[in-house]
Amino acid sequence: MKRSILASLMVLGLLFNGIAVQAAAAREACDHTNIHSFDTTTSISYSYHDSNGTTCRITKREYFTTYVCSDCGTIVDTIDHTSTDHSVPGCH
Amino acid sequence: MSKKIGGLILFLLFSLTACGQPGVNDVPVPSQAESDHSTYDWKTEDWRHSDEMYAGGTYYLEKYISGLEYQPEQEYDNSFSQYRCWGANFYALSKYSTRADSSEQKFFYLSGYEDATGEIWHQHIELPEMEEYGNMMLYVFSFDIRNPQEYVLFVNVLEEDKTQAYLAMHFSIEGEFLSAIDLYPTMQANEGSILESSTGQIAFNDVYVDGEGHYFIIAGNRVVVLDAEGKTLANLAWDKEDSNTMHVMKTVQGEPIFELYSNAEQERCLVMYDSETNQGRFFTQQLPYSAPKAIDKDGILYYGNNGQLYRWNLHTGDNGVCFNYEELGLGRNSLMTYIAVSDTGFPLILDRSREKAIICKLGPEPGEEGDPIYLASLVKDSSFINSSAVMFSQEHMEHPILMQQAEGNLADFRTRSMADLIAGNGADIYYVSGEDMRTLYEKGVLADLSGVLDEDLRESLYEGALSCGVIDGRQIGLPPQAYVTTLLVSDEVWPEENWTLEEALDVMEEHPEFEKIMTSRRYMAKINALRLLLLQDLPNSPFLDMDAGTCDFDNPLFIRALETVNEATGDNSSPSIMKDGGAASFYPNMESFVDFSEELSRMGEGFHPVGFPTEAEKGNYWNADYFLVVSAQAEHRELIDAYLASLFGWQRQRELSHPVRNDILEKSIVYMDDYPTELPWKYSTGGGQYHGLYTKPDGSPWTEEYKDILDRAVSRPQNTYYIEDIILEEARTYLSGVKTAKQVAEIIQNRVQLYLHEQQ
Repeated sequence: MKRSILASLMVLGLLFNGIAVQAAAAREACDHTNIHSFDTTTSISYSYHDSNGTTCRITKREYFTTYVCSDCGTIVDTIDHTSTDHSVPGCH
Repeated sequence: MSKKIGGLILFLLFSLTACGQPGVNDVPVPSQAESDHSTYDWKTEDWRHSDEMYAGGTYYLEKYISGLEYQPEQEYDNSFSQYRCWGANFYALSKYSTRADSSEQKFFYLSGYEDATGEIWHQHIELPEMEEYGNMMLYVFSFDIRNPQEYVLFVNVLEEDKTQAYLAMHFSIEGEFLSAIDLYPTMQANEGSILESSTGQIAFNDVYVDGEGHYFIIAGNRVVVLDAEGKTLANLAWDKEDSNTMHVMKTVQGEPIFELYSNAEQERCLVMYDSETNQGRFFTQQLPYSAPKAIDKDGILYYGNNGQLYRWNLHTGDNGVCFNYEELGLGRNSLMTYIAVSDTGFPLILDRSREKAIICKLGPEPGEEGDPIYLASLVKDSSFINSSAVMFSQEHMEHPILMQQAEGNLADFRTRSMADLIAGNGADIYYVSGEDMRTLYEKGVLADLSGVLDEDLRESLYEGALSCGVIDGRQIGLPPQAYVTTLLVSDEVWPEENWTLEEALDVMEEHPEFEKIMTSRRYMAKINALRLLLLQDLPNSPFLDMDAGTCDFDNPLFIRALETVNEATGDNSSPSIMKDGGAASFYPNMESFVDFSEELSRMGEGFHPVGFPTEAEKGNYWNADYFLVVSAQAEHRELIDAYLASLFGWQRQRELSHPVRNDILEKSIVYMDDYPTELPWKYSTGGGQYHGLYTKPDGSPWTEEYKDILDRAVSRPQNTYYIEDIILEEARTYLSGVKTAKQVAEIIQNRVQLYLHEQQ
């Protein structure tokens, strides 16, 4: 009984391992030319500033952009960014 | 026994396939509407969440509204507009200033859009004479709407540039002066309500009013509430450190709601004034940071997040995306985006980040606008094209430009759209990939756009970028964006400004410590490395003579190049590999100046652009991924051409990360020395958006280096795509180990030579 169960589990293991290897091979064979990206924010901070006589609100955002191959899902790049949104252009 | 084994396998298979599927083990708890919706009060009851799929419906663009800002006939040097929202209405206070004979004159207009009637009105603001202030100067600083019948101007009273009073002046909506109260003493007593710059100039924080005449002064980390006579009633604040306050929306009764945000704890909440308890009423739901928001009388909360408009029914808990405004190019700066809600419960969105405010009204069905010009986008991201179409259409409402985009599968939409165009139907303008542009050109369905951009405009564009859309000497497509491909090399390894393929391969041989002949930060497959190194300028390579109709791929140099690509390319590396002497050359990210600056800061100084190997002088090439093309049967060509030309105007182009205008870069770089940040140099894409720039060791931006690459770039041949495809197809068999480099070189030689013979 135990041998049979172990044999069954081995078969299942081989089956899933084969699927995983095929998936990895598919990713390696991919050219990664079809890319999409998305941003992930890591922190936000707000502040108020005077801007030549007007009040201005500034949102500072730290985020990273992840570039992913749309065909195979491989992450091909990540870039850190810092950006600010100002309620009045040029205020600081 | 076999039955037991089979059962075990089946059980394991079932369990494994069931894992990860939502809902199998988590049966959603139905939302419990314990009280009748008509009696639900979002101000006092819980804001609910539902685990069920969003059922609130999808909204559509019903129409655009333009003309909110007043356009004065008299000339002015500067203008600035502020906006407020009350119910379904938008209001704008526009300030104009002219400078004549060293004195500055200002004039003000109040404008309003009233959704119930669709009316837009403008009113010149004339401040009354106030005896107690004699000849002092009155400067309108800000405003708010008390209700649709009354507005309040906040006026700075100055004597010799020193504030004497800060008046809240009440007017009827027709412009009749009603009353005034001086808020200056109260604001002076509340730290944070008045800001002072390093030059001593003061600015007043925003003040809001409600229907009862209460005043709400933003004072740093709290809101000070005053009664109609200016007496302090309450402070709306919380005890979290390093907090800021901003106004976010008003209720349908005109009560202002504020957001408190703690930088230290990264937490936020909403707060409003409760006149019964004389305290703040807090709502602790963590809504997206500085997101535009609006709430209607039925407790439906609308808020924006990453370009999506969410509709949250606070009573039932139903919450989900009802509209994608990012596709229209709206909402890129959340601080410049506002939401109103009509009496029928549908939202309106105002985006003030461009030269004129764009207002779009949403509804349950798409609206029908006049006699539209159709623009079909066969590309995933066309937000720039869309927002430009909206801006253009605001001035040409008789023939607005309407976008057609895939609502489901993009590939299916693309196939149908191209088939329609080839069959003589379809849209007027298309936004397509380069490959699709060439396919449509070969079918003979595209118009010649050679005369669309006049000479003056063309002078401000990179000619090499435009040439990406030239086929057979004609401008078939116009690329709104383009980027340059180049290679960077160490000054010590190769001091020249260009190199041939043989020279590049010799550098690799002379430096056995180099692992790669070419690498990049982004993952690059070997086939892409081959395309970049060998195929960007085939007519100027030793392998192809288009004029003679001959080729020579079956030679040792080509074989040697194939082998080097296979051994010394692929994968990715940090830019610091160049500093460490691990690669012969680096392929930089040229898709934006911001990202380019970050890479070069990692690489350091001592490198220069050598370009890709070529027998010609320059190996930096212009590339464009997407083009605007026009159907040969399109009508309204004058308007279409005007729209296309508008995409290359300065205001439009500056929004792009890799514009084709040659006068954007320097004007977009700013230094903000009094704003505490580790990246004081910034790149502006307009609309109040700034991106931090990494710099050279001396603290200056990489401007000259980037511009030098763009200025030296040339167009690459547009008549060798078929040959390139042959080479890439055969090269794959070598890179995958099926054939040897020599075998592949022979096959390529035969196929390309046959193709050249057929062309002759």
